[in-house]
Amino acid sequence: MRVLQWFPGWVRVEAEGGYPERLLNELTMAGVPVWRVHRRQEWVRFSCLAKDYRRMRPFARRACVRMRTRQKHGLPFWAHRYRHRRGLAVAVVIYGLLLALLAPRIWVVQVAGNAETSSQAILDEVSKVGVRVGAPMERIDIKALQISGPDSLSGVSFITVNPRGCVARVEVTERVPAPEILDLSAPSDVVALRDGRILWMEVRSGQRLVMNGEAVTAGTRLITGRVTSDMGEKLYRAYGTVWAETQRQITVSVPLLEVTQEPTGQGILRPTWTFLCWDIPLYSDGPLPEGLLHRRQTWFLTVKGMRLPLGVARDWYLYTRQVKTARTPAQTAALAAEQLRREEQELFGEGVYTELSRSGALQGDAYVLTAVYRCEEDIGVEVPLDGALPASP
Amino acid sequence: MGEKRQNSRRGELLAELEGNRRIILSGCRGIDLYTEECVRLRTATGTITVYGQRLEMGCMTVDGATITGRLQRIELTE
Repeated sequence: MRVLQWFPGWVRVEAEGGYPERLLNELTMAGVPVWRVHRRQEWVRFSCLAKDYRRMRPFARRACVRMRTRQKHGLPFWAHRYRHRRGLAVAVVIYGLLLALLAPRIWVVQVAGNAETSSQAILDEVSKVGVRVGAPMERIDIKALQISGPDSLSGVSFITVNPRGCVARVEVTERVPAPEILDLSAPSDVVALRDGRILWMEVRSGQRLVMNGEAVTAGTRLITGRVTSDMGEKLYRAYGTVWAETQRQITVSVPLLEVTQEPTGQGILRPTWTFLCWDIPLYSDGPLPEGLLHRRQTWFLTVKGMRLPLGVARDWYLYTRQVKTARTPAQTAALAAEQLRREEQELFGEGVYTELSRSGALQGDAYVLTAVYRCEEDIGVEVPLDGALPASP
Repeated sequence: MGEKRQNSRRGELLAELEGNRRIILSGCRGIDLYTEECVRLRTATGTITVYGQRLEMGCMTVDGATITGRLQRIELTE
């Protein structure tokens, strides 16, 4: 009721003296609605619509009542109070337009449930059915996505979109791969990938050709699929695990004098304002000189961890200069040791390995560090029967 | 409900009392007296007088009114 009265506006009237009962009777007979009638001693207060206040004056005169307004409420009075503030009205209109324009659109696209399939591939697929930043939420064709999505994305068994406000959440269920079925029809051998001494073997198919403790060289046939018996020769697929002790070597070289390209501190700035799906460049599109170093900084509004499509990207194209860095032998040795440690992690991972020796020396204008390791690894690799050894990694 | 409507259409007084805090009247012809302690309304057959304390008229229309406050006594006269 209050809201309905607020739009046309209403006033609180105080009537004093005379015959207030007569005034109220005449008002009700004339069809003027009044409410919250309140009598105290010589005055009566009541509420009525703002537009009815002028109509009351003749009735008040006849009832010998003096009327005056005590309070004014509602939209007409509010608008009158702020009539000189045009900016406020403009802001309200702009706010309404922006709300009507942006509220039904997608602001954020989230992908959930994927482990193997890349989020970018999923985003590319869902964009075909209208799921992209800035697109209208109501135009998303969820049925089409559910049908075509699993066909286009090989690792996905189900995909759908759950719209929630301005967030489109893409839910993905990935396929569980079927266990690999060994093709036993193609005969093969297992050969040694590198030199080593056999520690133990587990032959699942084929015939074992070497014993535990035996030293083998790269290319030695370890398990064969060619089995000869009283029944004659039969060909099988050979497979199994051959665990052997091997030796590996890593060599790293770090120059004493290093030449690098470093930014001078001066460059060309190209800022871009991003709003929904639009990137608005705030620069003139002139040609860039060659050989500049590109660096990008972005600032986007975030809400509860979600990045909103409203922000600024600053692309710096920096001028560079050649910087020669001379290192002492001690610094070079430390750098080489650090580089060797990284290569160890890359090569062996969490495998079993023991460092046997390490030697480092200055050779010309570089420090060369060499380490030898004893490893335990599977050296067996399957090749077609009588086939060649694949290239060693 | 149908009987209520018929009474109201004939212009007879219809009163609904909600405890001692509110009385809703229809079939009134106007106000005779209105003070804090007493409200007297004309009806088709006479008057109805509501006595009480801090009496207020919540809503007034052509043939009805709502009286709120601490109602103590209601009197009908012909």
